[in-house]
Amino acid sequence: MNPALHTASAAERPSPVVADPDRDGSTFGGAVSSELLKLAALRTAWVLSVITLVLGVLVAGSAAFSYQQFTAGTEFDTGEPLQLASQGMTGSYFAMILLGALGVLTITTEYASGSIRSSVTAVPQRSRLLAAKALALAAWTAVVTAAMILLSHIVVALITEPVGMTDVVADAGIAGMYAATWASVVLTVLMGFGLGTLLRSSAGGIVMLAVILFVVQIALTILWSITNGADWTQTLLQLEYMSLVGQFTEAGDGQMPGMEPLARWQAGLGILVWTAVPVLAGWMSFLRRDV
Amino acid sequence: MITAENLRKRYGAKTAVDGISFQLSPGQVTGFLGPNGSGKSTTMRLAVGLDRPTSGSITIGGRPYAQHRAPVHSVGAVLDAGATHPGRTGRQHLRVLAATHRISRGRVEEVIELTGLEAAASKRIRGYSLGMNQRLGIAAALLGDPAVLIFDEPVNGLDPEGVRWVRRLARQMAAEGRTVFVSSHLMSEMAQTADHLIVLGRGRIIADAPLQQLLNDDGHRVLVRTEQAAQLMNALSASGVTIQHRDAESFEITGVDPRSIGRRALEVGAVIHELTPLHSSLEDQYMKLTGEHVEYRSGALHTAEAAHPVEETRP
Ligand SMILES: Nc1ncnc2c1ncn2[C@@H]1O[C@H](COP(=O)(O)OP(=O)(O)OP(=O)(O)O)[C@@H](O)[C@H]1O
Ligand SMILES: [Mg+2]
Repeated sequence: MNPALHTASAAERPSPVVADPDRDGSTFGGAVSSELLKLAALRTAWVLSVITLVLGVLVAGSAAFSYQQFTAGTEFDTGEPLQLASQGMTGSYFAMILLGALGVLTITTEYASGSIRSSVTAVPQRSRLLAAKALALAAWTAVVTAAMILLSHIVVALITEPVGMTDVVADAGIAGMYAATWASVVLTVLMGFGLGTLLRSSAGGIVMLAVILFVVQIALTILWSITNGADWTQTLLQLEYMSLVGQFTEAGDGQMPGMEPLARWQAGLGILVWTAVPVLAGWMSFLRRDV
Repeated sequence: MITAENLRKRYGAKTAVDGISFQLSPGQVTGFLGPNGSGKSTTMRLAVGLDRPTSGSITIGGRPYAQHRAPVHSVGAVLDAGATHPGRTGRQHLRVLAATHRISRGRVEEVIELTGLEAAASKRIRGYSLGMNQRLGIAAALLGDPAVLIFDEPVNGLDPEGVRWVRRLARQMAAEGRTVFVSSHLMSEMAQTADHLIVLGRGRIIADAPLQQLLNDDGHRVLVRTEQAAQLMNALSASGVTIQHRDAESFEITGVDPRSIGRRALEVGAVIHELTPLHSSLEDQYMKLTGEHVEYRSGALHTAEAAHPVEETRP
């Protein structure tokens, strides 16, 4: 080989820079922190979270106040701390729809803006991307919901006699009810996320979520009354999402008279199924469809 | 570095990419040309796994993009300027992408500086101009210092300074040994940037050749000036040869190479004082190549253009 020639051709043709498929770099943890950064940069996430906190505490405060003003010491006063605390949790319904909407929006705003293409280019392993999104979202809303529950509890404990400040851990019934409420909200958020992934539309996802949360129960109740309480309508009513949430938190909400409530684990399983269906369907569609 | 094999993509009844195969080498800029809707963007989306091929494959470094363990270090892609969230700032957008590969904040600042986005980086993307969006897209593509760059119409919306900057960037990246794949409608732009061209028409490859070859490949059009024009024209006429009279002493001839013209002139004793191979511009070549493959044709415009044919240029 002629060394001079070799040098000349080397100067002309640079040594190629090759893409190494096995080079390390992308990690699941990285994807999760990227998703957390996105949430923190999303104004809607802050707005919805703050509204959830404020509404939750206001609702808890007014429930506690009205108990203290009008019920305490009357014949309706059971003095049951669990019942009081669970009335203080009425705000969790707002949390479900507001944070659930955030669940829808975290993915649909990416489609609406086109930033999903940047996201998928940076994390082309789609299951990893979706799991990172779900985890970041769940972490964010878990913290917000926990804060809401804690603040609501403090407000209720401050205002009412029977509920004590330490009952949040000391009273197993109350602690269990809080934990179930917390889990229900986070699962509802994931259901919203699944619906958003499936429908790719903010309006579609939020409407669908609202239908599942509020409309199904009304529709079934109407059906129940026009069929004069047929058994199958009773069964449907018991397996409907919000009634499952009610049975899971054991607040007794959405229970039709004369029905044996499900055990907590059964109700929890029911909620899981309700959540899993849109999440799995969304996941499958995300794997298959073009971005 | 980028290899497509029988790559095909159908959207419903529409075949956007129709079984194309090509290979891009590192160290050069490959231009990707074609009329509107010919499938350039689709091919690029397939390359980074945004769309799934209907059949066939496109790989980078021997593996589909989605199977790279550090995709951002393998490929930097600017597919469309709008792939950002309007509510985020430019810097937040870059940090979000950097986080996926644990790329440092220092590198984010580096690419901001490199793309001249310092002033805009803390503003919300909502307020960005098209050019600022393009620069942000390029900044994002450069984040991972990738081996392969894929730019879909990167100069779209850039000012002249920006156009020159992109051209130099592409050249420099190729000079460093990277694979650079740039799509464009602008022939003039490609003539100055690309080493190699792939021309698409209706989802099929109609040319895949070095730039120089495409320019030369012009059926031997030669300008001849001679004192005995009529005599030489006579001697050269044959089937497959077209002769276009210019003036008393000159004509253009297609179908015979300059060497044969010289010989023939010697035989008939014609005195030649110019014998020039003519190159059409890339623009002409491109029009000729894609003429029959254009899908979306503009309506006829009765402008002065027809009266002023584009000047021939030598590269
Ligand atoms: N998601 C899609 N759904 C349906 N058809 C599509 C889709 N994407 C592209 N097409 C069609 O595929 C064809 C190729 O489109 P593509 O965007 O790849 O062309 P292009 O060469 O990039 O054009 P341009 O120069 O205008 O950017 C077009 O006819 C387009 O209508
Ligand atoms: Mg295009």
